[in-house]
Amino acid sequence: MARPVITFLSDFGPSAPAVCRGVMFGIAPDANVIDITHQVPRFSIRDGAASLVFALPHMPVGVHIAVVDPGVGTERLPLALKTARGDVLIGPDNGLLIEAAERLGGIVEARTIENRALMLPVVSSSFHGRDIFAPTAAHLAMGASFSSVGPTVPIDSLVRLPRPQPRVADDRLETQIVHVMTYGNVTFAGTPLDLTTAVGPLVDGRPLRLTFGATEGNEAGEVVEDTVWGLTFGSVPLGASVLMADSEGHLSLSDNQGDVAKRLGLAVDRPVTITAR
Amino acid sequence: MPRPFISFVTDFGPDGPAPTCRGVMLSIAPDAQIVDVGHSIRKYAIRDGAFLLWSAVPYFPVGVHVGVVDPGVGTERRPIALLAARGDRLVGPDNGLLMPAAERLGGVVDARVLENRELWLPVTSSTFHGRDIFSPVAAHLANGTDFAAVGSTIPVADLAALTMPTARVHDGWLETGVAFIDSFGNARLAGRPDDLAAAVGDLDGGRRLVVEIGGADDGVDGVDTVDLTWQRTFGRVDVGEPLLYEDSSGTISFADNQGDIASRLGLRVDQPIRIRAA
Repeated sequence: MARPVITFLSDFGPSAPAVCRGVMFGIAPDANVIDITHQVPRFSIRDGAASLVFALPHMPVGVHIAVVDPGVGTERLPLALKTARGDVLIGPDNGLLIEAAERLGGIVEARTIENRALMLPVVSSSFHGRDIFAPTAAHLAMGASFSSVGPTVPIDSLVRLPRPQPRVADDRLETQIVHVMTYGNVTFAGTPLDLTTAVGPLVDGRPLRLTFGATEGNEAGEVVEDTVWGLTFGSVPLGASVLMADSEGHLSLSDNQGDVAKRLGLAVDRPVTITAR
Repeated sequence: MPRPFISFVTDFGPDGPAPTCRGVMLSIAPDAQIVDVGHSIRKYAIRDGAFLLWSAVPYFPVGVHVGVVDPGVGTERRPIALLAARGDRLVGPDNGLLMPAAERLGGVVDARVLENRELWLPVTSSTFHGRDIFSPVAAHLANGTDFAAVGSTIPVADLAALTMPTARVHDGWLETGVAFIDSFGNARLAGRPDDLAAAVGDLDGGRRLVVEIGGADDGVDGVDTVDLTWQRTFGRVDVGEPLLYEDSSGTISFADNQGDIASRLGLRVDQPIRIRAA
């Protein structure tokens, strides 16, 4: 039998995940545990969800645990989602798992985790990653049936995150920053197709202007960045910015071998308007 | 059959992209043993990545080694695979990153450009070849795919090389330079103890030497001079004191005992260094 795969994402930071890994290996000694990241910004469900969307489509079919869980111990449900591809996603019912599950073919069944036989004997109210999610995931990896975790919950009752949508207006695309990636690359809601609809065909080197809206607490106010459309980072000189489709097909702004988020002081949620120039 | 071995080094940082590549590899080669050499290399620092891989590969079993420090991703720089004399296969961009490691594994016996799309992910981006090309090709090679299947041969002489500082022996002094600064701030210099001995004579423990840092050609005014001794290891000098020693890779290194000499002296990669007898 191939070694069962468990992937693991959290906002725990570098040390706490080891405890959860220990719990998993206690139950599933042969599991291949892949740490996606444990550096999700604390309590940022949306950053965690984006990292899952980025990673899970490339993971083997398996059990995927995600814990960014500011509501731990409250009435928020502990969830297990079965996807069309055959994966099981485990984590809190706060929207964290939904978009990734959709990338894996969609949710075919959702259950709340209630079966104490699959949990650690003592369950705390503040560390469900260790006490509930890790042991349940390991039991599922060892072959426990999906239906054994607990009763089904209606898929349309699951908590969902708001999903920013780009707006095509006269000669402009109005969108916002949805993620700041490693290297400081900035991802926007929307695709090259949305931008083409707004400003016309995108060819290599086409000049474009990005106007980042003023935000509260940002004394500099509006930030204007003149850039070009390109295929990849190296399409522009060192340090220059380039707008392109990133490896996920989203619109993305980067500095070639630089950190555009730092240079322009950009963060998630910042509104931006993209126009021709 | 033993589990196939894959080593993996990038400048991706610890999160997201590197584990995504692991997932791609394990989807194709579920039994692979993947060792992360490191993902915290300074962004875009090809030579730092090359050095880390060079230091690590002699201690690895024969396997597949993936290196991705790839500021030219998606441009005309070629994706390549190298077959080394020891039997290892190295996969990554043709920017010099893989060359020192390949040399250390006996040299390149066959170099190929990655062209066989059947070994790639079905959809490839222009910005994430680590995931879309290098990881799947490496995993297929680990599974036993023939090296020749990756693409057509390219002349070894055409491969991009790295420029590294070199050591030159003069009468009474060694001309060298900073090749790499490790995570402790220790500076590895070009050259071996034999080169230094040829320049300044026997290196007995405690031999007094002078290190001169910088010079006219590095754009820094003035020259820092450090008096120190040649020693077998750090603890032979007081805490905070500098020393020269033979590091674990057999090159000359420059360190403070339990200190960070690179920060203390503002050392940079490629800085010229001269070592003289005291």
